[in-house]
Amino acid sequence: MTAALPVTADPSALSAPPRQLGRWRRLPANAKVGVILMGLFILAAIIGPLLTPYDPSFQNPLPSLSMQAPSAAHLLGTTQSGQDVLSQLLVGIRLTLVLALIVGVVATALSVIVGVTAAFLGGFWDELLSLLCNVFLVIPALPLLIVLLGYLTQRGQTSTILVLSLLGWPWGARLIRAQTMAIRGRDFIAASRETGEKTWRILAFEIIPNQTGLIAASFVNTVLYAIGASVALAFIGVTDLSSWSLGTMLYWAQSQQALQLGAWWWFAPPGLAVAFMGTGLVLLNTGIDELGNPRLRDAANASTIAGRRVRPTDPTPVLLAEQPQRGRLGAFLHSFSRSSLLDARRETGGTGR
Amino acid sequence: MTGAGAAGGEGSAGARTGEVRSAAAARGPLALEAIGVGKDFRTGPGQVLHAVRDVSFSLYRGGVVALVGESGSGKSTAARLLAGQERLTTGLIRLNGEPVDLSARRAFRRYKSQVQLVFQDPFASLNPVHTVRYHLERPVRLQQGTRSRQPAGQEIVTLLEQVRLTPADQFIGKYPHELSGGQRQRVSFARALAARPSVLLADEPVSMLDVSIRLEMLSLLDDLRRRFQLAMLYITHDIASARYFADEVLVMYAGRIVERGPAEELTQRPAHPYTQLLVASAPDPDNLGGMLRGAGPPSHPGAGSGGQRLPQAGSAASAGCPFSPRCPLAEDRCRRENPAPQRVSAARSAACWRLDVAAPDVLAGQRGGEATAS
Repeated sequence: MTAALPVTADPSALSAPPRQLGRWRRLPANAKVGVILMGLFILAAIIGPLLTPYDPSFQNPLPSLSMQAPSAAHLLGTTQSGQDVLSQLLVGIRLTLVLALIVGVVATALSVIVGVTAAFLGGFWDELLSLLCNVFLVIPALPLLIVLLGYLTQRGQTSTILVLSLLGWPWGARLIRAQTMAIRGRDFIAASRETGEKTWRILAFEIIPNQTGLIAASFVNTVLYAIGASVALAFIGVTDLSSWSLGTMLYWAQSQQALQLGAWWWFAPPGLAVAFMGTGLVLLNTGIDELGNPRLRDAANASTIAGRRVRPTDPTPVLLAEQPQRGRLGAFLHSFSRSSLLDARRETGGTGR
Repeated sequence: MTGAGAAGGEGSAGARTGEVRSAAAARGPLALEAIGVGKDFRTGPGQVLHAVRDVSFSLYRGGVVALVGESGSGKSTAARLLAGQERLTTGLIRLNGEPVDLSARRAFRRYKSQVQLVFQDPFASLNPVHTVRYHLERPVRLQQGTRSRQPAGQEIVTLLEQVRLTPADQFIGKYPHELSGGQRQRVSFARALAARPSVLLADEPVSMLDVSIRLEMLSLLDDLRRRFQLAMLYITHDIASARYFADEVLVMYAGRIVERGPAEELTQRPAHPYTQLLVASAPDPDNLGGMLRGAGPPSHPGAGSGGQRLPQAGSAASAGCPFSPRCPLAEDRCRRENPAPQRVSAARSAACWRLDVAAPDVLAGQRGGEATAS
């Protein structure tokens, strides 16, 4: 396999340097799946309401269209009162996603402001803001949401957004505070003071860009939390039930006994949509680390030897099949796995590859 | 100038004040003065660490003053005080004869256009998310008030060429992780020069670099000093490089300057017992064999055994000389009273009660000089 490298003094005879891989191709595979899933949902949220075959609220009086299973006319069937489930789903995805994104933006902004301020000012302000953080952290979120939304006079989406944002920031704020404190003492912050930068510029251009990955991850987590919480609230009926979201769809399906009547097409689509949104967001999170770290970006671009990535900091690769050391329990568990079968076949000289 | 501990002096008037003429003064006009500068850190309730105590020295345009000492001796804190990164507890800083007050932002920025600090660790002093261009563009814009984009670009290329990062086009778009330690440190130098300062404070600028490029970096610094008439403070723990690079050497121990003098003279004939230990511990290529055999350098009697005890650097409890627990020549007086700097020649002083034993030749030279003068 070791073909002799051509020795030449003419630089033009050497092969061209490897093309820089595009950002997309350097993403880990699971992050790609996350991007695709979320892309589909965002697309559905943007153009979905334009594609709805029926008005989601239109109750078809035909008795044959009550609880009809999926058919050509109604791709996802109908509800008990003859409403088209696909139309409801397409409209509902938009409302749920928009609500969750707004909550994500507001709560992440709050957590960045509180976290960075607390860490940078220190002393009294740090104590005060940390106390506030801790108070919000120990509040049991869902019961409070139910109570608050039950008492609020107007049950629209605005109050849901406000309450979810107010309760969604403390985790992110704590993370960002800790990270800011770690960065604040680094020499490059002192160096930017040497340069004569103003404090707000140090915060905005020196500290926060170093936390892009953390902030993005905290945003994705908050969106995830907002989807879960808003669906849960709608499911128990504490929201505006005249609008269509994934949560209100589930509410109506549950209250009209879709499960008992076996109308799976009524509750499965919104449920699966929530599950896939969550999966997509979690997978997306794995690709975010590289966003704020130029070093990781380049490491992913490293050359490969025998299919294995080689990074500049790695020891010289020794390409022998690894025989991992296992303890007694590890070996026991391993004996059930698929790779143990492959190992056994290779050892007996079988056709491993 | 020296508030405490001057009472016990018994020498001549000059010896009592300990004021000397700096060896760097011949290089050019006075730029930056530290007068009785001190810094206390609160380490706990009722506990205070005197990181820097009553330090005074002057930097002259075109001259290099080296601050030498071991880890924890307060030399980095001294640099940060002069750079305005820390607030002074006591003392005064004067720039070109004017007292400096850094509480106002505008005054601070004006001061920063004159005095720049270069950090020790090139791996920590550049922001990993910004390119070389950004690191140099900001100081060019802030300190020179350049508004349009084009002149800043040319200025950056000039800066990179000044620190010998050529071809500049190749480095301008790089991120710090794509550069070697030496290249990063050159970017740090370029960033400091972008403000066109008159004073450069270099906090161990080469200690984190490979030995093979240290000399190259020092000669680069020397070249920059000559080209821009920079007044330079060179902080190091390596007295050999100070001898190579500096005009005047200040030796710091436990936050105080214990000896000062012209670089060559001080390293050849150290007067203070601590300086003698420092010089003796620097590896001497001619005498490596002797040191390895355990014979010890022939600096003064008892150096080997006296240096074994643990340092009590910075502890404020004892009233005596801070070096006395480690000093081979310490006697009762050293443990009771802290010596004030005594002048031993026109350009040298040392803070030690036992100079007559520690460095009889240095003292004899001075007495002889005074005798012939009078």
